[in-house]
Amino acid sequence: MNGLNLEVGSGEIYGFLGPNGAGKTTTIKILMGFLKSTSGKALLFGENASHWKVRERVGFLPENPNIYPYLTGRQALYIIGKYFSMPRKRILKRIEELSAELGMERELSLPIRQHSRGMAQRIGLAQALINEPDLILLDEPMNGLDPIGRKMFREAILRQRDAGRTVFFSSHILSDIEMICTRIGLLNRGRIILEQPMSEILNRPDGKSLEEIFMEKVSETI
Amino acid sequence: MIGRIYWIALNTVIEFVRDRSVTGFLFIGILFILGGAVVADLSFVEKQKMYIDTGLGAIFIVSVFITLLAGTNVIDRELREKQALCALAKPIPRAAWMAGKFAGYLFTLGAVIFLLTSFFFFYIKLQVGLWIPMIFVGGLFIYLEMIVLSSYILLFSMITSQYMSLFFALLVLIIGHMIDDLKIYWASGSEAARFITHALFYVLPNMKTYLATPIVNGNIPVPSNYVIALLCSTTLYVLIAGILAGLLLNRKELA
Repeated sequence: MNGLNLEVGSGEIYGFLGPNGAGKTTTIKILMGFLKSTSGKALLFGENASHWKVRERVGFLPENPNIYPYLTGRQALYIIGKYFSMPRKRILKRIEELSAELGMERELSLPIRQHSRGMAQRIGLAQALINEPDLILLDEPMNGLDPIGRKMFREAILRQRDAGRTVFFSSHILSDIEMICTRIGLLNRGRIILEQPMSEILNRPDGKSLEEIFMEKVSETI
Repeated sequence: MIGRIYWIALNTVIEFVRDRSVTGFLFIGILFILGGAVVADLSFVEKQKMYIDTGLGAIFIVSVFITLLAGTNVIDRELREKQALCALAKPIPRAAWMAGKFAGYLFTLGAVIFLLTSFFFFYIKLQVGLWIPMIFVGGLFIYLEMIVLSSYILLFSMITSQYMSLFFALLVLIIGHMIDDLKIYWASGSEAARFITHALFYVLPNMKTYLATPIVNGNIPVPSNYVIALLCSTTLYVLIAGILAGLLLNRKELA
């Protein structure tokens, strides 16, 4: 990262764009406290992002989530709920809610090692939402999903916004970003090269699409 | 926080059980103990001694295999395969996560040793017609030795790769059983050799103190203060290794 300055407000869906190797995952890992920045500060809710307590209010879906393969989806979600010290009744209620919301009845009873990519991603999203977090960080959540899976993910993200939560997600899939984000940040070589509300991008006088802007801005900084 | 550590430990136990490699080792251990009958039958005298030697030997070998293979994997694999990212994204300090994983692993190891020891206890009664409760003391000593070895593995897994941890752990086990011999070398040899042997003597555990076969074979009562001293030294090894490993894990970049 190089002089990255980023602020995401409450209730936003922030799309974090950039080519491969731009630093999207690194930024998310710094925000999750997995990596330490050599300089500067990373804050979540005004507190040091690397402190474990701040994660009470955060839900995180890593890129290619690898969740306990020998547990069923239901067991994995139950144990993850317990990591938040949630009471049994509340966990079971949340599992049922998430099952209905994400359509994952089959995933709940199958061991995770038998899940397809889409099923594993759904369980991944469910574990990120189990604690009803105020901030949801998603790293490339749409990767490898079919159109139905992507639609389901988009709808789930929009529901989070409607519930007043903040969503920060990185993606390569510009059409998904166009459909759901309230603001985007375009990252290249560790720097933000464009940051704008989605409404401004969609209503540009020159009529350029997000893809055209993406290509233009990235090629300018190469 | 204790509740969260408990759930991490429970999850680790479930994973070990369902992974089947540990249950596979349990099965191999039972086969080894049964195989001891063949060796004992070859002996015309001291049949009971042969049973005890081969039985405790079988439990020890299986415990070493589990400790070396599962112990080097318990933290390292989760970090390498990024499975840990899911748990560490939750409100759990890294040291607490590590403590939970280690506790779950030690519980599984203890359960396997207990099951093998119990099987051996009943099997020897069947073969020689004697109840030998000292076998459980032997099982306890093997478990304590494996806990000490696991503490070193925990520390190694924070600073090096899985295979190097396995190699270093094997060295600790071998040198630990020969540690008294080091005293012979420090009386002679060069200044550098004396320094190295002294350092190894004080840094590595004396695994011979956990050797239970002669005690079980001779049916020698073990003084309670000896057992307490072994429990205390084992706890000390776990605490020191745990604290150092926790500090190293806190500094580790989870890329």
